[in-house]
Amino acid sequence: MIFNLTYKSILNRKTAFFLSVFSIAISVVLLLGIQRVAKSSEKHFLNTLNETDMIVGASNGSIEILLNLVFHIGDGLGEMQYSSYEEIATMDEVAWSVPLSLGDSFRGFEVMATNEDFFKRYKYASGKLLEFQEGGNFGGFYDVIVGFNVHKKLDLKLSDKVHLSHADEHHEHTNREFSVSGILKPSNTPNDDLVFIQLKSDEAIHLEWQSGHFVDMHIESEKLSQMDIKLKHVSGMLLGLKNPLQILELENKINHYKGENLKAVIPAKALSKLFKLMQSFQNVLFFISVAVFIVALFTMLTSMYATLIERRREIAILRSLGASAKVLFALFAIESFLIVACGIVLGVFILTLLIALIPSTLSISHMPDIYEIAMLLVMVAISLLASLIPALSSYKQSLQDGLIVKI
Amino acid sequence: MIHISTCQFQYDKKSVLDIDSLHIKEGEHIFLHGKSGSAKSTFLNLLCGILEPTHGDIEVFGTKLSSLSLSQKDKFRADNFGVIFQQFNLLPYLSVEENILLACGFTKSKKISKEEIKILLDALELSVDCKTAAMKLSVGQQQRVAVARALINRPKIILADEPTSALDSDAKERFMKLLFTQASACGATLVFVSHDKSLASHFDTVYDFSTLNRAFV
Repeated sequence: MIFNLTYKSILNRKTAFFLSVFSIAISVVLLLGIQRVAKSSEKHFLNTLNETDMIVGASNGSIEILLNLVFHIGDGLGEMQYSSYEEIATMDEVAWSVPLSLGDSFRGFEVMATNEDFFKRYKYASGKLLEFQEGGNFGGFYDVIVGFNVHKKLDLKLSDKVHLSHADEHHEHTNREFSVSGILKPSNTPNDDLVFIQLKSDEAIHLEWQSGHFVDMHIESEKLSQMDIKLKHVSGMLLGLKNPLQILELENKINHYKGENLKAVIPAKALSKLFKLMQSFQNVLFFISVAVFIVALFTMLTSMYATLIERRREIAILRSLGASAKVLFALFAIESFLIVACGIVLGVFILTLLIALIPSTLSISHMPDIYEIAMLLVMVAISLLASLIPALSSYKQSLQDGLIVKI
Repeated sequence: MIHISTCQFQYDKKSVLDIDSLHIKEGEHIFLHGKSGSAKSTFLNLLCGILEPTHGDIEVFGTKLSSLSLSQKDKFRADNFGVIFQQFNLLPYLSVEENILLACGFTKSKKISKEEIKILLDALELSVDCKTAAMKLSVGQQQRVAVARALINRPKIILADEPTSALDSDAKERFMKLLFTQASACGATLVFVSHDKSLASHFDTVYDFSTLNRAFV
């Protein structure tokens, strides 16, 4: 009966009820949304690189090296001599290595120069290789491989001709024509947005660049591809160890490399460092969403309080019929429970809708996990406690009013 | 039987109510007449156990109200009292039937059938659909639904607080007649409070509340 009474009473105050529900729903969307994005970005980051024991770059910051070489974010690293690369690659501890060179761009997409080993060694998620949707690994000198998003956004198909530019968009090497030899399947990693060329072709097209100016050396493309080009620089390298136990030893060796200033980065270590940075940012977002929830809670209490005067007669009638304090508390508790429960359901629904509608490279989960459910239960508990406040003042008021309400 | 002896009630350390003694016999219809502000409402609140006297005690049908806990008092009120207010007796968003059934929500008494409600409404000359929302009724109709609710549990005592003040004189006469008939049919004791002296002629016993309550002498 109390439930029916609450239900009818709420029906009588629909608008206020729905406004409260809506404000709770918004706070649920924020609270859960921020958690989900944080969690999937964490997963996304962790999934980006797997089974690579070490990254080497010419910089002092391990996060900088990680961001530049793996996520392609940042201003670029210093140059690492190709001879240093070769020396490290042939060290006893090293099982395999892949050189990487970044810095050029193609119509808004980053160009990464590497070699065919990249597609044999680079692993993501739980040890998956990048797969080709069409075509295959590097073959000819002027081959270019494009990531899935590059293929999608620029509408590039197999064998399409592309002209790569050096550093800025205005200078295209119209005479150096590349052809798409491979299109990657989507991997949800930064590689989806990359254009891959071979290191030697990259070096070759830069032959004609001297101190930032294009100098036409009148070399035919055919001839250029056959020239014995000496590789000079790379941005960094990925490497795997023969014996994982030697990791610290090799790290030490590379960090004290006499040829130039290099830094060895252990991806797992750098990633966790990166997380700590992101964590504090996430914490701020979390506190904001908690604040939004508190505001929503106050909205609910305010609307409950606003109806108290209106409900004094209602309470007096119930008291005269023998309703105890417990019944009054139940009325308020059920009402706030309904508001929060409906708010949560609506909020989860809106969030699911948003995740489905907004395209994102992060694969955000659609289902609430145990942590989120616990958080929602805490919200319910807090709102039930909060409902004690209007219930208590209503009870006090009813003691003062007794049966006869004078308003 | 209701026995009240040396019952006092103070509010903010000021004596509001002070009754030397009052005895109401079972089935008696008593009229308490008093000006507004003479603590009539306080008296009704004390009688049905919502307020507790500062001194003295109230005994209702052999039960000392002070011997009951708060929730026992609520229970006692649900089982033994029917209350009719001046106005706004009903929850506007509930139907006639739901309003009447509210009275059964807090008692252990048997389930009330729809026929019983119908019979009672007929006796009160109310020919409305039980499903009609209370807010759609006229004030006179609402007051009669309130009587139906006050009577449905067959309470021993009916407390009426100026139930006719919102009614015009025709409706007033009709209401009083119906209330008396139904209260007598249930054998209920009726405690009727009003400032309207013209109603006094209907009652066996009439008290002037301003002489009864010594706090205002």
